[in-house]
Amino acid sequence: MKRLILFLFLSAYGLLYAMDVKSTLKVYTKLFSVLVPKKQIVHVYVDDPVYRDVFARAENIAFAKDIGDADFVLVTDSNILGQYRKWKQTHPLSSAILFATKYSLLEANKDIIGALYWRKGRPQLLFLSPRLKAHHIRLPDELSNYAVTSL
Amino acid sequence: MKQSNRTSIYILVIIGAMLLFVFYLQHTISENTQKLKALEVEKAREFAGKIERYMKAEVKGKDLLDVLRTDPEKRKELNRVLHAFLTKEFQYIFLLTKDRQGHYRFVLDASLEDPVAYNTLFFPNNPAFDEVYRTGKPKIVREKKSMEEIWLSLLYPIRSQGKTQMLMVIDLSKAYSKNISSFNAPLIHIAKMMQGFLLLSILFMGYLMFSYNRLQKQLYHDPLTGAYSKYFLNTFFDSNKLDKYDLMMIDIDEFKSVNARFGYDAGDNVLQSFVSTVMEILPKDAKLVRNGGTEFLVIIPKEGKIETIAHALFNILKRKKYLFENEVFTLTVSMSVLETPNGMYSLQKAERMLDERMLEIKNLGKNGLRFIRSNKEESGYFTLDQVRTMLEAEKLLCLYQPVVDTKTGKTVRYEALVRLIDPENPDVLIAPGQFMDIIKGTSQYLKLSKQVLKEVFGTLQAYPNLHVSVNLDLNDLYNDEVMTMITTELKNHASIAHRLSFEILEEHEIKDYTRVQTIFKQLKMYGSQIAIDDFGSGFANYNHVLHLDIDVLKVDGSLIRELLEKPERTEKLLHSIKVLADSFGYALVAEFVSEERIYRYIKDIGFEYAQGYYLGKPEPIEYYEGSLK
Repeated sequence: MKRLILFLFLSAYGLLYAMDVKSTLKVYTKLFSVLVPKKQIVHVYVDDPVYRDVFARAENIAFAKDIGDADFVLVTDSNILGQYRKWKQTHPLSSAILFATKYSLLEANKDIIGALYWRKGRPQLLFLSPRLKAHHIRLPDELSNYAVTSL
Repeated sequence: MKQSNRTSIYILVIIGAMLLFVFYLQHTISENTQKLKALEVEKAREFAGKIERYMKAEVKGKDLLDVLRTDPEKRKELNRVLHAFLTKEFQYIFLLTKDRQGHYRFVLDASLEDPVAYNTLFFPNNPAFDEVYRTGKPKIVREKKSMEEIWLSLLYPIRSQGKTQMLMVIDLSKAYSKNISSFNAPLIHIAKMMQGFLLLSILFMGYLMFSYNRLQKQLYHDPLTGAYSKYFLNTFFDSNKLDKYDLMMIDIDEFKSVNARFGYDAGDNVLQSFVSTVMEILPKDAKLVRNGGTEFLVIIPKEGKIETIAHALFNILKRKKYLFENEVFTLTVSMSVLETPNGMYSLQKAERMLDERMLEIKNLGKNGLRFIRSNKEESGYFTLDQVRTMLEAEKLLCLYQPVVDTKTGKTVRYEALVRLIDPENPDVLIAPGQFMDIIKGTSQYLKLSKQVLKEVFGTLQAYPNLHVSVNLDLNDLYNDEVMTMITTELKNHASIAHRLSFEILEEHEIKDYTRVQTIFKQLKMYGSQIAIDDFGSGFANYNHVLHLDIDVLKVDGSLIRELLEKPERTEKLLHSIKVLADSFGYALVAEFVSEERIYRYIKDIGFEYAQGYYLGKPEPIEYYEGSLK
């Protein structure tokens, strides 16, 4: 029975690429504290059910109903990116922070400030300095190594 | 108990040794697995070298990194080459270089399914990458646990003009590591199962030993007084020599009066208090055994202090005050003490000696202490060693007591009676009562029987008209050596066979009459006669008459003696034996005919033969038959 539960758990969180829920939540909580430092409760727009399940465990994260209410948009696929583009057309001055879970998404949209993804079995955290600047975000020293000027 | 503990320890040692062997097996398997893995790492290193040489050869002397930066076609081609090296062992193979900012970027990636584009950023999150880049020395890195798919990474620098240009990364998959481990998995599984089984066995053995010891402790101790039990006494001398200890028997006098006066609870309290006092006085290595009721046996290692201890104990115990319901009373004790002689091995015999001495004390009015000294004058017994020495020196002779025909009054045969010659005084002859009990069941007994037979055979040959009867225990006849000696002698000297009677001493119950009857037939075949000795006492009973083919019944002396005390009743009994003997055709011999009156009685009853001091004492054969010329 225990094995079955473990199997189901790993299947459900397969998208997190072997990082467990606790570690994922820890990384994102850290990211939020850096990227949205002034907010006690961070409103996150996320569509992916797995990530929603992860964030649901945090006390200081609330789900935004649409992109306009969000402090932070987690871009997990091109659909979210499509939604964002549509919303951006009507709200060109939006200040929502976009963060991706794939390198390709980071390449595809210049509004995404960084990404956390897996490559060759290794977790990759990446920020683009010019995009951070546009949001007036300054990375703490321990994350500064992950900032690059261009892809 | 010692034996049982020793056995348990042996078993535990064996299990422990097996456990060590299993650990060794497990260690060896694990070591071999590590060797296999090391071989795989070495293989990856060789591959990396081959890939580097191949790529460098492909660019024909040009700078490899320059070519890869500028020639997309070459990159495609070399990516395919890298891909060819991808196996199930190698999860990823890729080449990285550092940009001006010091970030790693992909140059080549062997993956065809999900290739990473040229110049894509890569964060290794491992300082070993920088170290290899800087030092130019390959390194094997064990990746973090979070990297589920990767077991080890080989970081292989590709250098040009003394500088590291690129880093080739070959990731060995965790699945492959598991695969290698799985080769030995069945063995490891078996070793672990054995470990588990052996550990369980040790636990089970421990539990059994604990239970056994607890049970034995209960069996070894009297629950009321805490003294040792009779069971302990029996097992103690299985593993300890009796003659290394002195024995003391203590009996509380008039204990019944305590129970009668104060009740059984008071009696129990008195016993507990009594034992507690005795334990305080006895040396630590002494053992106090409750024989039953109020009788105790003390076992004390021989240190020459038994007399002092016994006196101290006797004096303290008779002065000891017992208190019950505001009434103070004292109890006396009777004590018999045995300084166990060397060579004494029979506890039963020792207890009998102590009992006899105890009975003497009781008959003299109780409240006494008597000793049985270890010297033979006091004990009346010789030691096994002393008897052995005498038999080895053949210090033995037979005396002959005449057996008279009651009709003619003439001697018809003699009974050979063994005596040992005292080595300290050759004029003193030692009767069987002083040594027989000690040697029974030992090899000395058989030696004695053989020497007696030799002596009797010699006498029969020397005196051609003599008829001799010789006593033999059934155990002698069960012994092949003795039987061979007898039958050989009878076969070789047929003339003596019909002049020889075997008087069978029956001290043990006959369980196999068929076997005994076969032996008797064998002896009778040569013409010898068989007599049953001491008929009417002990095991020499009517069953013998029923089952065995014999010639003579020798009625037990104690019955004959009764003719003086209870002549009428004894006469009736002896008459009935006569009728029985006649009906079976057996001749009757009366033993212990010590005076004329008895002789007349048995003659009147119709006994064919008589034997006793009235008719002739045991003497050397020359006394009756004259010396040989």
